[in-house]
Amino acid sequence: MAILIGCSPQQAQAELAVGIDLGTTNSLVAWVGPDGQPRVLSDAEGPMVPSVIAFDAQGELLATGAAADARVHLDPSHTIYSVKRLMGRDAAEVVDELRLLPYQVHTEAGSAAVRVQVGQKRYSAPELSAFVLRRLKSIAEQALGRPVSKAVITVPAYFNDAQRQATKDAGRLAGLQVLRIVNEPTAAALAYGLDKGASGKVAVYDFGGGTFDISILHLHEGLTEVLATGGDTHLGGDDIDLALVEQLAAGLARQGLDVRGQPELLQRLRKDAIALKIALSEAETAERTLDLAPLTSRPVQWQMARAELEAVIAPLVERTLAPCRQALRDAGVQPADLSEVVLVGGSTRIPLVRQRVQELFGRPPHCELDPDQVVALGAAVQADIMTHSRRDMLLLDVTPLSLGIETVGGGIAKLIQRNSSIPASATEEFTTSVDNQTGVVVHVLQGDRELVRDCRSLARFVIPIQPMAAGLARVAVSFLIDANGILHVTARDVRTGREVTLEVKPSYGLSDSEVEQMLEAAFDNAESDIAERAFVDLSVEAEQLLRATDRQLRGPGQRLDAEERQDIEATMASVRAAISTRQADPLRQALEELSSATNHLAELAFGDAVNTAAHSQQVQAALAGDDDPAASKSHHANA
Amino acid sequence: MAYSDKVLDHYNQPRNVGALPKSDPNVGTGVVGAPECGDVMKLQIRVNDDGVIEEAKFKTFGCGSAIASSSLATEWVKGKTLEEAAAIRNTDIVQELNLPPIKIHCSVLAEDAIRAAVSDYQAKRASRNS
Amino acid sequence: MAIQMQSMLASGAEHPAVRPWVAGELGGVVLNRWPEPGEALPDYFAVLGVPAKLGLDEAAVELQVRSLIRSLHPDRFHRDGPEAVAMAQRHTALVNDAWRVLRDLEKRCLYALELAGDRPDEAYKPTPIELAQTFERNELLEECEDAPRQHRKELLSLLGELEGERVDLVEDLRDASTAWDAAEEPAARHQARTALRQALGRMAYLDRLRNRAKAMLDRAAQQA
Repeated sequence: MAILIGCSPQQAQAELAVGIDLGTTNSLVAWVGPDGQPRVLSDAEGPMVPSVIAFDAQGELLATGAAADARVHLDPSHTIYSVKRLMGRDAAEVVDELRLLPYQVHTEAGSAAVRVQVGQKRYSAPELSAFVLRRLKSIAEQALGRPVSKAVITVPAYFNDAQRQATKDAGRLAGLQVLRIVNEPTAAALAYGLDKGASGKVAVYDFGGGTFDISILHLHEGLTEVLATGGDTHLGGDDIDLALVEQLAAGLARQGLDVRGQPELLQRLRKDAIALKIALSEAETAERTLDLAPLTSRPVQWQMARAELEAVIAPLVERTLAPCRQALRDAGVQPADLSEVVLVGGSTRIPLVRQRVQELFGRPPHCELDPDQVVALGAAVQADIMTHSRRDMLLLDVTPLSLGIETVGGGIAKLIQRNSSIPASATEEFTTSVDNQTGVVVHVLQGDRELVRDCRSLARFVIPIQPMAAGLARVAVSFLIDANGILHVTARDVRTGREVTLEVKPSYGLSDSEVEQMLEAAFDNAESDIAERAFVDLSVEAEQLLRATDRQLRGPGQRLDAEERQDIEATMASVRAAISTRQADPLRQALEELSSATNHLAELAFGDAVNTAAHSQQVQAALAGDDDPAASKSHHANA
Repeated sequence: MAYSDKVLDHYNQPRNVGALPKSDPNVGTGVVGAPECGDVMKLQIRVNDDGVIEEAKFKTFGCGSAIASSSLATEWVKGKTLEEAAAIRNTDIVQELNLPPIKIHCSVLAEDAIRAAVSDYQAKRASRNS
Repeated sequence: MAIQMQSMLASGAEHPAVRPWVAGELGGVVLNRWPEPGEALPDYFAVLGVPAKLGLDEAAVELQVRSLIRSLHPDRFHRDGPEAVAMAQRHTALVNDAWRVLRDLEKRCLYALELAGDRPDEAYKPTPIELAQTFERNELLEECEDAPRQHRKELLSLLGELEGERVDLVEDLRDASTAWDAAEEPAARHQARTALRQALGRMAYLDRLRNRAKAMLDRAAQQA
């Protein structure tokens, strides 16, 4: 490369870890810069990446994010959204979800986890989420100009082991080392730095695109205890938009315009509804020009007052309050006991929501940070804590559900109670009850109900035992819930102290070997991945080259003749054009052209740099009192 | 399945649930408890003049293993002499039901219940004969 | 870090009940006692480096726990590789486990008895009167089972009785644990252990009934 680019080796080597909010509707990636401030990273489409993945008819990836979102209504059976609702779950659990989702979902023999059928291909939920994660990874790499390989990913506080494991698998499939799985409300508290303050109880009110979650946390010196969680998994900004579309449609019907049965028009109206909603968060009234083609070619001016919006959405806002009251009751907390209320999710921008939250909790909520970004920002803070081993902060979470093993008659013996600080472990000793028994079957469950059928099966395994008289064998099985809330099982022969190998079959998630296979498959047919990767690397290089050239044109470049200058500017434009193609090959060619076009400029810049260095040495020498006449002369000559 | 079919069978269809008249001179009653898990178990036997157990009933408030253990115990004592019944050991119950280690105390409870019922009957007889 | 751990060693030495630490290096942090392979019941008092007393200063131990977690948490060892993280994971879990048990008087007493070993002669045997009463209460609950709302009054009065008895039992447990801590002679220790087992055994019975009664009242409230 012909141009000098400044980049300290220390900076290049520093570990890059980002925080990711992998949402039901939108996902974001954030990072803590050298200044210690977390910020959200974005590309030209903005920081919010719709959690949507579009495939072609064969089931090959077409697009993720906004481009995929645009296809939701065009090609519903090949455009996958709301994957988060499927993570770590089986067909029976998602029956209600499936009624709302237009794509096909299957279960496969040997695994309870659902697979989504797209064209000829079947994808597991972690594989689908991995597409979104890969996109976020690439956004971060573009923005930071360096490869990103580590991430902290957030999940709802109520996610069970299987859902957390699925999220971690997704990260792995996306080529990310998942440093930690963090609870979303905890991340929000972390973003506000509430963990640093004195002890206090905090309510996190998270009204997102598709879900509503309320969490009551107890924070003390970096230790976070989840006292209660609740919510509604099918209540979010989407419902508000839908209610507004209905309101618009009813209003238009009164003018004799029937928009029903016009999917594309309804889709446009949805955008209008969103625009009105956003405008009404700021202003008392808002206006919008509605394009009602093909019903009428005449644009319709539509005005809406905030009061009208509030009347429409009031019942939805009301529905969030009952879970809040329930969570307060579960936590044994009065509103007056709360020291903070934190708002998360885009829907909390609506003044009515803020007002009702304030009334319920009796205090003005925190809304200094962008509610869409606050979870990602908190995840970034945690990533920073972990990569820089910051001793002043430590996030401690709890397990949201009890862990137990099946006992007779469908009962459960609890080993680790819910809300225990994690990591946590429990050891149970097992023995045989008949002579020459060669194994003991253990069924591990998660949940807080008394019966197996009401709890979540996590795994089954057989403890292998050498044939001997009943009761002689003694195997200690240790159940460990790690800092991510994920279960690990190990066993040890008590008499020999030797480790016993267990084959733990997760009931829902992907087994380790499945993840390995997927990773291999990803490498095998990863041509597109490799191309993407090559493009990312090149574009990073290109951005640096463009910045440097730009700077040099304003400096030493002023001494170039007009033709040379024009030549450089033209090649710069073609590099910019090549970046927008997102293709590696044209970009590589354009870069080479720019590189050769800037040879002379580089020489000029290099000469200046050498002179400047010499100059600054002389100035320093002069300041130090070493009065060398030659130095002073050259100083004048250079000035 | 972590538990034997026999446990589930006795748990889902416990045999001989009920009560015998406590004051009947031919009836022996044993009430025992396992404080570890709050279980209480009542086992009653009706003994004929030959010293053979003709009938047995139980009522257990406790976990599945405790119910299965007492159900099995009532099955086993029927047709046995008092001596034979008192010789039943909890390990026999563990083996028959394939109980896991954390539930062994349930079988101990059943053994205790049999013995308590036998000694209650014997005490009644002794006081009648004296 | 090493200095802090040494001072804990010192504080452990003052209490003969605390077993010596087994040193295990974790990124320069010397660990508290780590259970030996196959050891089913780790010595939680030793893990936290506190005297093995039932009359625990909970606030002081909580501070100790916080400081241990700050040093041992896996997030601290992320840069030292997966081995160190796994080890930190297990150690932090052990500290959390210890605190979960020791912070609660009942769990602490049960645990101390278990740690002291099973002594069948000290086992709590409910008296025939207690057994009869428990049996009757169970039968009462069984009658209420199908229609808790119609039996709300009986359930409330039973729950009231149970709560009252429980207050007395907690007092008994405190007295027994004080006696346990003070006991030096074998006879006194034996007596203290028997008293502990009795209080805990009665409490287990009572809690079982109490939970059932509460669950039924919850159902009654839902029906209303």
